[in-house]
Amino acid sequence: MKKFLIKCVCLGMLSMICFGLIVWSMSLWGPHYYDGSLSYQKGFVLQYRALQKATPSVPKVVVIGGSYMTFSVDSDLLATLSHKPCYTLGINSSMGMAYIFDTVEKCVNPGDTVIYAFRQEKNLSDYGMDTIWLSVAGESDMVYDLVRTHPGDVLRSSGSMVFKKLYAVTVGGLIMRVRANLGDALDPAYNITSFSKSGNFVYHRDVPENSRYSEKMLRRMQESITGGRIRLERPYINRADLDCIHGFLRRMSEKNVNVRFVYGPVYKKALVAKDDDIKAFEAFIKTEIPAAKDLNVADSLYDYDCFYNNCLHLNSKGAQLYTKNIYDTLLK
Amino acid sequence: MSFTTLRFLIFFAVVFIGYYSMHKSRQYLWLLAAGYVFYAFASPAYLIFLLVVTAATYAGGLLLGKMNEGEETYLAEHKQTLSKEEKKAYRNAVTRRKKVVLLCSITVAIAPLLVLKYAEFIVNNLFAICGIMKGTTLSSGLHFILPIGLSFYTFQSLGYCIDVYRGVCVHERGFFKYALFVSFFPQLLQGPIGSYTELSPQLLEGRDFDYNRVVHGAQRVLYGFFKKLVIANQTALVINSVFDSPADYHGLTIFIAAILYSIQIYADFSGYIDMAIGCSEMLGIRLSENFSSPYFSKNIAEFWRRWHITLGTWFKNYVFYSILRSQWIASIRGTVKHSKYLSGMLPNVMALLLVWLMIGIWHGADWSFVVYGLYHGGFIIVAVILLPFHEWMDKKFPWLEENRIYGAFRMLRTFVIVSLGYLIFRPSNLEVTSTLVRNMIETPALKETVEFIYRNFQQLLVVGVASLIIFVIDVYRMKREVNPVLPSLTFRFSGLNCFVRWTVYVMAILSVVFLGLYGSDSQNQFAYFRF
Repeated sequence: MKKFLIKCVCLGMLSMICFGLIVWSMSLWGPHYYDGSLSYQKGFVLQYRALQKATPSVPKVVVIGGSYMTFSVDSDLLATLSHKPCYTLGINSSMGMAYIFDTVEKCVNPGDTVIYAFRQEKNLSDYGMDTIWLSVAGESDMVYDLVRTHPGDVLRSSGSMVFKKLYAVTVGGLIMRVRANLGDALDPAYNITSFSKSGNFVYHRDVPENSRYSEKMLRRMQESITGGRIRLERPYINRADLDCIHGFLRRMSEKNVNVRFVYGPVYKKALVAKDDDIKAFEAFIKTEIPAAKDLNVADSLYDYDCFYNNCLHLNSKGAQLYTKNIYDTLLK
Repeated sequence: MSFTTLRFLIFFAVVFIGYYSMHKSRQYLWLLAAGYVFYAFASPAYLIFLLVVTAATYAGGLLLGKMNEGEETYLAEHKQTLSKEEKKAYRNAVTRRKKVVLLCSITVAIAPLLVLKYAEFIVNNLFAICGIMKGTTLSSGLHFILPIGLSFYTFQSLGYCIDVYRGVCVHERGFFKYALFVSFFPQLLQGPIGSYTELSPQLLEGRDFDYNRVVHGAQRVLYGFFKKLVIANQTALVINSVFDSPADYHGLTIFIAAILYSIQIYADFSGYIDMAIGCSEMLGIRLSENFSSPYFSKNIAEFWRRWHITLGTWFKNYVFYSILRSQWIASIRGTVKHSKYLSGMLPNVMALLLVWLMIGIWHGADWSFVVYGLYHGGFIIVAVILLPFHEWMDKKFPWLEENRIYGAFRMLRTFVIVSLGYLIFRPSNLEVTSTLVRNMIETPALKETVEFIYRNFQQLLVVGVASLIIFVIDVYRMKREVNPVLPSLTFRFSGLNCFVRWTVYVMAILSVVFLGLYGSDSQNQFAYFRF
């Protein structure tokens, strides 16, 4: 039995070494997933790097959320209005808000303000590792931080990360190129070039505009705005997500960082809720999260002409209105 | 506790080391304790059901065994004094008493299964009928949670009782020894359903560490992990959306989903069985095989001889033959005795109908499972009815049986029939099934299918390549069935160079880690746990 057990341990160690070597080399390997298209996910790194470079002694404003925030907040405009350096952090809700909380925590100092563009259905307390890998792959410090703080999640997801990356640079990439040549390209907004160096989403997202979009894509975008359905149903938010938010608020309070809540933007007709439902929802949130006392759903409802490609993604006009809404929240 | 969790690996390592470290006479007690701890991980409350089933069948077996012994002793002692008629009368009297004991034992043992699995179904249907009669909708609101593995260990225990009743096996006197037969942990949750005569002697016999046997077992466990985590879980990711939102899919997409589900369920169930057999082999215990390349079957009857073999054997031994021997069937046979064809065919058809109804119901308390059982049973019954025609075909075209193209056609035909049957089985809801079938037939929706394949291409690629490995292994197994002289794959693998073997091991482990889907409980759940 001893011989068998020793061999098992050796096999386990050998497999772990091979596993570690493959994961490490693949996570630091340069090429982005789908090199170019879908490199949108790398916008998160730009946002994080910009935050890292911010002067600690100057109070700043950081707006956090998912892609509904990325598309809908103009941090340059917010900086002009508030006379403070402003940043955005978060580009995809499926990364999980917990990861966004962790990341913003590392970059804020006493006196800073964090504005949380809140969406009850997007407050995922778990880590969307598949999406996180798309951002952090190739960034040694971010990979290291992830391994250090969430070894279990990394272990569980690293296999799929390696496979996805290999798939993306081989078969997946090829299919995407073929599709692009057939005129079925992805929305050009989803690209690293849509971000400024400070991580602000500067892609000029007005529709329709000359020949940038195919008819098919325009139809798809239109359907995505009108076909979306956002519901306010109990339980609005689960216990794990609430605990995650409370934990974040407590840590921010210890750091003397001010946290404010604004409701994420929604196309008016996409919100399936009566006035009473909205009131009940607001009352619930204010009871459960006292820091969200200023939350007002009605302020974040917009008409069709304010949206870009989704009932949560504002276009340039909508982003201006929503950014002003955020500025008003800051003034309160 | 699912096999595909870190918790199980740690648990098994402890059981394995403990098992070989202790004295042979205590090994069975260690396995018994392991079985109960293993089951308690699912929920400690479930242990009560395990104990009830064990106690009921143990007591039944003990009484029946004593009656058998008493009968034998009495007849041996009075061999000279009793007449033939007196002996017969005595035997009949004992059989009647044994029947009562068997019935009592079965009733108590099967009661938890009947109540927890079927009561809700029966009461809900009664309420629904009452509701229809009153013109309203009534619901009982009854709902029970079924302890995992209950169907499996109940059936295994009932098999023991019936075997003792029939005098096929000697009853077990030691309660702990018998309890181990019911609760042997690798097969506790999902089978294979073992027979007492095969399994119990192995469980009670002390074992020395056998390096080769342990390595073969570990290889089998690794293969099971590969099947479950890589193939079954990746396939589930692709097709769950189709079965969860049946209205959104049409035509060929549904057909592809049915084909993929047949791959998923095979990888899932046979993966579990590989792990169970592998773990047992590591402990020196050989469990019955439950699969034998089922998708290479040429007809549905053969499919069921290769799929879930132990369940099929159980129903054949304890239900099918019992029905055939019953008075009721004898009377049917008597009424049609003028026709040789009818007197042979009709009893078989009636028995098959009942057995397939029960096999369907065994899978779950829902009308969809009844229909599923009758769907498969229907094909088998038709084959029985058409037996003279098949015999005529065999005589007229003897070359057809050997023809490879015809053979391949028959395999493909059976595979498609089985896959379409999963449209009844997978949703476990006849409304969903009807939506799926309607959508599949009404519109071809080729564009939707292309989009579906494109969206899931990554998973499909993994499933395709991994399934190819299973396919090659199953083909080799089939070849060995025809030509048993061929060495087993394990034997051939053992003969390879050490470097090659280790490379294969590392690659197998890495492929499970990199391509497998694991982590969340729902994903790791085995399909047959719900039965």
